[in-house]
Amino acid sequence: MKKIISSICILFLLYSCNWFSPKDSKEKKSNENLEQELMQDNTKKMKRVFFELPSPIEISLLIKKSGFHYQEDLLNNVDNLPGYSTSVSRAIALGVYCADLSYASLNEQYQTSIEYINVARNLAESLGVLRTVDQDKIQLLEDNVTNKELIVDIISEIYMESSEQLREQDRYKLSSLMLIGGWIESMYLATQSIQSTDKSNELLIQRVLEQKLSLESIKRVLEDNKADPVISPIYNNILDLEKLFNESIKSNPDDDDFYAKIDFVSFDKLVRKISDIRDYLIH
Amino acid sequence: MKYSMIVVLFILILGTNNSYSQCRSFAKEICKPKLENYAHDGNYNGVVLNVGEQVELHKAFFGGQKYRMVVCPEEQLPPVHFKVMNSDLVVLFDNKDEGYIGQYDFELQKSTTLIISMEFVKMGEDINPSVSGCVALLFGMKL
Repeated sequence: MKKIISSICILFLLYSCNWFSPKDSKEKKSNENLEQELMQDNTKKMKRVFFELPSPIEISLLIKKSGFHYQEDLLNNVDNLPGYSTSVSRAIALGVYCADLSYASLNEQYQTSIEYINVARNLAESLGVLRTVDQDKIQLLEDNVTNKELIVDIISEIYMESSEQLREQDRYKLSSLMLIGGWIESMYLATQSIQSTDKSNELLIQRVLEQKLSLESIKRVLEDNKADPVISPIYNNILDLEKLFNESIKSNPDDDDFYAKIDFVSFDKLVRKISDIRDYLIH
Repeated sequence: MKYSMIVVLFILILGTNNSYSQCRSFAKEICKPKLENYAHDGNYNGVVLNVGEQVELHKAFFGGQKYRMVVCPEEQLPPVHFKVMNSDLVVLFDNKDEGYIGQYDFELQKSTTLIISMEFVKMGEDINPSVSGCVALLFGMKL
């Protein structure tokens, strides 16, 4: 029996180098079948498909460029940090604080940025994510706290290292929650200052509604775990959000009058829904 | 016997995860600098690509924003053939037309979802079918 178990372990070891955890669209084939496939006319290919959400950095940049004025009181307060005691709440909070950090840094709020960098790094470490940022960069930042490009670079490293190390540790649920937390917080920051009747908000409203494009990626990120009791309510909220996005955009998108294209009753519901989801995530 | 089984399992887990973390390190140290003055968006797309295999990434891009996309295979790998298509599968860019260049700078007039497909360049029948390695795809934005 022990010999059989040892043999199985050795066989798995030999095949482990070719294992790959992200979604495969087809099952792995033996080397013999792969050779046969390569010899054919290549009409069928092994294909893997990935979907990507816009990062908090990207959405914050879109917000900034639409002329949106910074509001410090919209950020998730760092005083909430001690309340995030489970790995689930920490993963969500990490995404949320990364979004706040992106928003603050692109609006050149350097002291807030430094504070939120430390919060994000500590949260990441508490989740077992190691060395999110090279120490050289932290040293550089300490010597030059007003270097926006460096701060954005640091944020991108924290975000990338955190989401990927969680995936590599087979903690896909936590990685997904982090991404969703970041997206919802970014949308919250974008929507909270919109006065829908104010024509100067036209570009920002447009940017918010364009985020409908991200919903397909969000559903894909959550789909594998949608039966999970933590993910399920979030997934259902995203489906509700999708309906509100659809209702907010009237049937004639080519109308030259921007405001004629928008159903502002539905848009206001969309803004409230985003706020509700955000409150659910951070509390 | 029990301890040797534990060692085998430990090596198994380490071996699997090590290739993923090496790919991530490769993306960060070798690929990310190719973004130059485009700020990395924080997303990581690194795959272990096999010969004959195709990878597709679906991503939303926003009108009026300047982007750079870099595709970096590890040094020992064949060049990567990539195409950028819209959701109707109309090809907007094919790096085959640019000598399999590893980057693409673009700006869209209107926000839309694009599909980026990647595979190794077919080098003829003598290509080793067991060739595989890390290919990183990163995006940067002009601040």
